[in-house]
Amino acid sequence: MEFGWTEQQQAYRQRIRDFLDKTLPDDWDNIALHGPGSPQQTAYSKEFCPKLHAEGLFVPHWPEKFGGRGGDSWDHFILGEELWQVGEPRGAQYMSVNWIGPVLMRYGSPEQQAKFLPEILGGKVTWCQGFSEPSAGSDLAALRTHAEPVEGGYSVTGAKVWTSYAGLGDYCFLLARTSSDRKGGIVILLVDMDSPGIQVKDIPSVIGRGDIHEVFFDEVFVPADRLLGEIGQAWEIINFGLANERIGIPRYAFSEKMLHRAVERLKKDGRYNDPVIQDRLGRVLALCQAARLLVYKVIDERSKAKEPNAYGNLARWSVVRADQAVNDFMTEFMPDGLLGADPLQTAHHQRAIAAGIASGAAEIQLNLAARRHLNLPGDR
Amino acid sequence: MRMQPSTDQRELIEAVAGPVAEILPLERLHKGADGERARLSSLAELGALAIALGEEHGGAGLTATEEALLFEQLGRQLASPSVLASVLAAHIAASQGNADMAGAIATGAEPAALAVPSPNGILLIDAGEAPAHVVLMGPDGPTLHAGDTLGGRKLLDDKLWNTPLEEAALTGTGARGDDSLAIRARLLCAAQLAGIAGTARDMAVDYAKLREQFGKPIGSFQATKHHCANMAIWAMASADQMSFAGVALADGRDDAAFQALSALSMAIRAARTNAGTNIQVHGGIGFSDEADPHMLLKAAHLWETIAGGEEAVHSALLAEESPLGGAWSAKH
Repeated sequence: MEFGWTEQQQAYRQRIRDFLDKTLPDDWDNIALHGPGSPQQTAYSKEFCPKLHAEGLFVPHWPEKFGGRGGDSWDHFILGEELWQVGEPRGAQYMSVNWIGPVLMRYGSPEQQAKFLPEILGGKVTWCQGFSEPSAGSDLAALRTHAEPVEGGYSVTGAKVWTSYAGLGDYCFLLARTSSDRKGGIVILLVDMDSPGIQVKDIPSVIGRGDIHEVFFDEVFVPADRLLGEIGQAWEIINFGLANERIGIPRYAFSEKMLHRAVERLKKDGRYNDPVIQDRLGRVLALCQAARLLVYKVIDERSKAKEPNAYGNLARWSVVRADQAVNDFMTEFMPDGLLGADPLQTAHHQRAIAAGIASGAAEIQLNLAARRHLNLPGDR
Repeated sequence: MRMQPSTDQRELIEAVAGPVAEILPLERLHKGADGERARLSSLAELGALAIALGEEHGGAGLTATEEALLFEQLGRQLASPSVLASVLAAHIAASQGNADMAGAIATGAEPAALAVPSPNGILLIDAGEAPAHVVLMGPDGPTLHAGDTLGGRKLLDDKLWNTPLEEAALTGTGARGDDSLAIRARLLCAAQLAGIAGTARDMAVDYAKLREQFGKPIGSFQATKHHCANMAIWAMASADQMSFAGVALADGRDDAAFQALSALSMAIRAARTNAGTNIQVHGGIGFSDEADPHMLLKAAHLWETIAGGEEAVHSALLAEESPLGGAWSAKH
């Protein structure tokens, strides 16, 4: 891996920053506090993403034939760092470019690609992720939502929970099963969220509104051409998608930005040179740096088109740990930030709380690392 | 510029890992640290003390990257601090233009001992009889002192950290190497500690596959498995950060000091955490004298002390500026 950002990469990063300076509205910080799935941020994302695309910065890492610029994973990640740091103006649409699109490019039928990819590029649709269920969390393959083959497609009945971005979602990347075969019986359906029989309930929580939901499917008809991939292929597709999802959000970028703000505030308050604060701050800074490097290694391999490996699991856990360490530090030493002194700290706090649970409990990463990286025996 | 060592660099060091492990089997430490001086000579014969010394001084002329990777291997085998002392002493002598002395140190003919400042003078570590040189790991970097400026030696302990620790005093100020040597010293400490973290991980994982309870290897239970995976993350994060810092130093990058300190912070915690967890995975046998795990924890503490302590590392880290991503800048 070459290091030291190339001149092109530096120019590219600067171009993103200039674009953000020019484009984000004056009240952006207030919009961003609501979170990526909020109505405010979703509405703004539909203004922002088309502009981003016009600038060639929405899907720079997608192949040219799908509307991208044929850039590499670094283009994708530099973009992610810059956008996540300012509060993710793409709203929930980051998910479309991070992994929904790439999954469709690899596994979608030509017809599906022709329909969904241009829609994603239009910057006005959001997807939600219909994975977890009340009895299928960490054990995703235990999902029970049933897809009954009927004439012309499937009739789906079941319940999903913790579904990100379902409230305002246009489509659902839905996992359901056609048979009891644990992994082989799963199918992936690309579902219109306005299909009759779908009911969405917001789950209010400390991380804010609009991010997580319950979704109920009551004999929802899904046409056969919305089946993604082949029967029996779903688990492979899920793993491919998850590998892209896990190392998708550059959380360390926002974590480091918060540390930066913490240093400014501590200096202003005359507390920066406190030896306890110095020790804790240095510790957290090193954790962020280590997380960044582990992620960079994953991105490096991805840019060389290597298949995802256990390294991603280890990197994911490091990112979560760094993000939480920043949050712990700030909560412990500057709790007033959570009581109105720094709304951005509150926003980071909310995201950091979810970091160890979103896209799979972090402990699952440890299981995967133990099996794939250390070859420890399974527990069954 | 590269982010991580090249395949060639890694293969070179992997090739010497075997001989290093033969010279420094962990079992040797059960008999106490006697005989480390003889092993220093064997390492010198292997060229381990001169890997990054200029060819004009009889060295291999390689970079801080290879040197750091070598120290990771030395750390895996719990090499005596005298090895680091000798390597740093040779660098200082060379940067002072004293080619003869650099050569004599690198061949093991003039052994060096490591010391750290202490309230009563210095704490001298595993010095053996009459070391020719002493390298003092001061807060501003290492200094080189002639062995005959050493006085007032008194044994404090040889059990606590599994190595002889003496109180002593030095007269005179000692010689300094060039500016990058302070960074190099931190980098090599980080490498030694990352090596300890790696050995602890391997030892725990091997044992978790072997030891059975409830009719199954304990590594099949999530409680143990998660310990092992966490150890793998610590070991990997610290080793990666260390080799990244090695490349930064070898390339003369501005962020080398930041990277080395960041590596040291990670490596201190990695070594300590993994050494402790390894004992937990081993159960009672973990802290008995006859088994190996306790030696790793003692070495982790020893090397943390040599590195100046976690708090000092963190203060120094905060004083540096990170270039990555541009998000962090303590100097604003």
